[in-house]
Amino acid sequence: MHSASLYNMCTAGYVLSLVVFAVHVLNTKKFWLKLGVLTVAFSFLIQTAGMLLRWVEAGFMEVKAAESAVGQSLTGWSWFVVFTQHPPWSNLYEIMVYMSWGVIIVTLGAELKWRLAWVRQFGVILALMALGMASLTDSSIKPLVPALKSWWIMIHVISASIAYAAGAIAAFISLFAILKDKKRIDTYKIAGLSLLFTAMLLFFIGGGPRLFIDQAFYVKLLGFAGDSIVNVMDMSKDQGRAFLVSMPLVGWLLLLSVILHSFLGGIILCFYKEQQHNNKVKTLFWFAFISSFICLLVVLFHDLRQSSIEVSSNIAHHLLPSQGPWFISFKSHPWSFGLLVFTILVEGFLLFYLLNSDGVTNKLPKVDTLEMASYKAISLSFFLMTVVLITGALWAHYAWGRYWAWDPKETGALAIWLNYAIYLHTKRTSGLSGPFSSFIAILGFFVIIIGFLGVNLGLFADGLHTYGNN
Amino acid sequence: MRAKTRRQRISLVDKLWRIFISLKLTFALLLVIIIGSVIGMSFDQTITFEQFFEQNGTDGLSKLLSFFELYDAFHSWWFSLAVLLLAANLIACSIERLPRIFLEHINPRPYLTKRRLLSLPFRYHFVVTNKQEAQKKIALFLGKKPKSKKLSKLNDSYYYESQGLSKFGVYIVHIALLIVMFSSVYTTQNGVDGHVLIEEGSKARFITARGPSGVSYTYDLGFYIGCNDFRLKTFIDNSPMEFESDLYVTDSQHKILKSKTVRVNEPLNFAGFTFYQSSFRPVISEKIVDIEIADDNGYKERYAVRLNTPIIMKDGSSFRVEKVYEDFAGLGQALRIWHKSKDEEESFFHIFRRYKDYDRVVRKGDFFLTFIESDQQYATGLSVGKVPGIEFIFGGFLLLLVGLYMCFFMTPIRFFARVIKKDEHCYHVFLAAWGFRNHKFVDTVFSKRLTLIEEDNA
Repeated sequence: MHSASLYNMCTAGYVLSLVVFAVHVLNTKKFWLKLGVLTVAFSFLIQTAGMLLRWVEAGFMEVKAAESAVGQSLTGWSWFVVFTQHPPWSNLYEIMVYMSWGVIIVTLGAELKWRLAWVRQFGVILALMALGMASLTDSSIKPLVPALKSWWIMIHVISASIAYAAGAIAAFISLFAILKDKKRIDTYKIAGLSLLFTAMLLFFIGGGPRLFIDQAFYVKLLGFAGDSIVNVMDMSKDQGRAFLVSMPLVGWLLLLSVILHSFLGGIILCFYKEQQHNNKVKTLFWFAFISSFICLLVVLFHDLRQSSIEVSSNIAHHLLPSQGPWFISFKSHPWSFGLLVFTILVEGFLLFYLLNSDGVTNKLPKVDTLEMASYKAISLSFFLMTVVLITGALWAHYAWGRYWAWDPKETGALAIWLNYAIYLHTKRTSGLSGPFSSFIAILGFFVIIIGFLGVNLGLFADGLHTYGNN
Repeated sequence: MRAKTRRQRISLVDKLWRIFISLKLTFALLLVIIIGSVIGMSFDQTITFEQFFEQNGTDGLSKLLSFFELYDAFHSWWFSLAVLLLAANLIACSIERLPRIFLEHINPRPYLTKRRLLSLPFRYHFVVTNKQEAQKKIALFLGKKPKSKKLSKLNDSYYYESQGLSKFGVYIVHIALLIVMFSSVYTTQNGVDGHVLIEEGSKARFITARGPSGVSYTYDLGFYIGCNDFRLKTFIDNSPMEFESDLYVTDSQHKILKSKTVRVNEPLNFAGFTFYQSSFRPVISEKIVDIEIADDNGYKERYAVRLNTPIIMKDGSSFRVEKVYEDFAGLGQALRIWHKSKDEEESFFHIFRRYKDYDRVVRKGDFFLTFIESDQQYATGLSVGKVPGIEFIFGGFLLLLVGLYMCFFMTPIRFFARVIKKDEHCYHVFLAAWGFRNHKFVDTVFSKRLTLIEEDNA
């Protein structure tokens, strides 16, 4: 038995649980719900076993590597130290698997505590996305770099995983709170704002301001060496840069979609305030949704077809050997692709809500309960983020001599923490403790994405958290 | 006239004060800091002012960017201003709110008046026949014996506050944050953040430190830090497994004051400075190889030679180490030796570090060579840190955790009880509770206490 096969089994289990939950939407017998939750719990146990197995595998690998490097066999305590020093969260693949584990643990906790509709489905989808992203990265076990050989890594990373997962789940709960809160928030506002929000997301997925300059959906430059895909950055002379090239047509479509989303969102917010315009709002939302969905289809088309183009000379001269010609195949940058899929899933859910708003909200408990649940989850997340920041600072102080270096990942964690500080303060402010604080909580999800994956998305230069290079 | 201006002045101060105690200012500042963080993350923060201009030219845009000091965003004037204002905001809020809560804590109002009873969210009422029973029930409800010191009994009003100190959790968090903020300013003002490369066998007194705005300067340690030996252990694929340096500290009279082997995560401390093993760099063309040459007649000599330096033997033959293989055909480290015999015949052969007897057994020449060790000369890269006041920062962290624990995992609940005597056999007992937060939890606790009373009745 190999850890990877256990991971495959748990992935299948999560997919199965989604199917069972879908059955539950159609047939509201309690049995299906229980079966679904049990499937999640069982898959979670398999995943935990997989992680433990990977720890053991990594342990044997570390011992073997250390023995061959030192030239003598290890025994006793020194064997134990080397054997356990490589926990299953030390490179990007492991971190993503581990994040999905954290998401599931928080989802199950929320299930036990509140039994909120939709949260379980969203939690499982998020976990599956993390697993899917993990499958796109290098899964081999490599010896641990010296800087990670520290016991701080345990508490630092465990806290981070649960904190990020709790924040993500809280964002979903807050979204549901806003959807449920029809007294304070009109449907047209939700539609318009979510279109604007989606426009912003698509804009960032398209590389931010570069979208207007290059009309490009950036894909990470990958070269084919033999059978395996390698990141060209590893082969380049200039190690500090990730090379991103544009995927044909997708950039233009994205730009169109961004403009359409913001335009239609603006129209909805400005003109359709009354109840009788509901159908028009829905139609406009359909248009926007179709535009972003087409973007996804075109990206998928390129990914599946693996069409290749010659790399332009201004990028190729960074590569070795510098005389090309360099050809690359398209393979979307997993993070951009994942975020795109996620955006479209959420947009689809909102469309579903617009079409069948009672069907979505009837299953949800009262707004107060939802807001309370979100508050609890964020309190947990905030507390654990504090632990993450503090253990990170202590570790950095003892390993590198600086407790705080404004490294992108540190700063990202601080931004997440501060965002939740805002949230907690809005809860104490009358007038802001309702939809506004829910909005901050939803924003928290994207701050988490920026803070946790910003480096991997190619937005920022990487610092000390080098696992992001893979 | 005079009085009027004074009044105006007071109102201006009052206005300012109101701004500083408002949560809106907090939101605005936190938002500025978050956005600033994200902007700072997207610009390279490791370059200096000059490099920034080199990269961006000196046109208008780059002047604008440099006005906002984006090459060092986290120490720029606007970021510092936001942090400073946030600190002021924190202090003002604490001054505004803390004394009232403190006074209320040391001097609580334990009376359960009728008006108060109606204003409390959780309340209960029952009738008993004698006073002792009423007191027993109240004791059950309050969760403490009436004799307990924490319990106030006034005028037939009973009062108990559980986990009352956790009211101060929020303030402890804010004070901890202020401590961390101010001590980090102190450490950046008085600390040293530098780097030094020391070649094996040499020592250094001056280090390169990073100053404000990323400008680097030379810092005089006042003593020497030297490196005797640097060792790199690598895995088979040559990736570093562990590296360590034997460091020592001397004064200007070359007297050794301290020595220690440092590794990643295991630094050397001296005079407030901490030396961390952070990197290493091979020194070019300084590869030294230890080999042993022996013959059957009892001759045995150890040589530490550089590459391509011939070793001439007594009989006129010579050996030269041509090349070091990190891994020769899966057999580990090996040397390619060039040999010129006494008859001027040239040949080459290999010896292996792992198989010491290989040359003696396989080649069977006049001399047999053993590969003892290959030592690439390295320069060890040390991070030098002096962080005065780090204890305050860590203390602040601890306080922060304590405060947050109090905020999130403790709930101050006030329990009130009152006995009103209607006649000799009719005592009315009123029970009530109030929580600062987490009303659902307070509700649970309240119901649990009432169940205790009901069980007692049964």
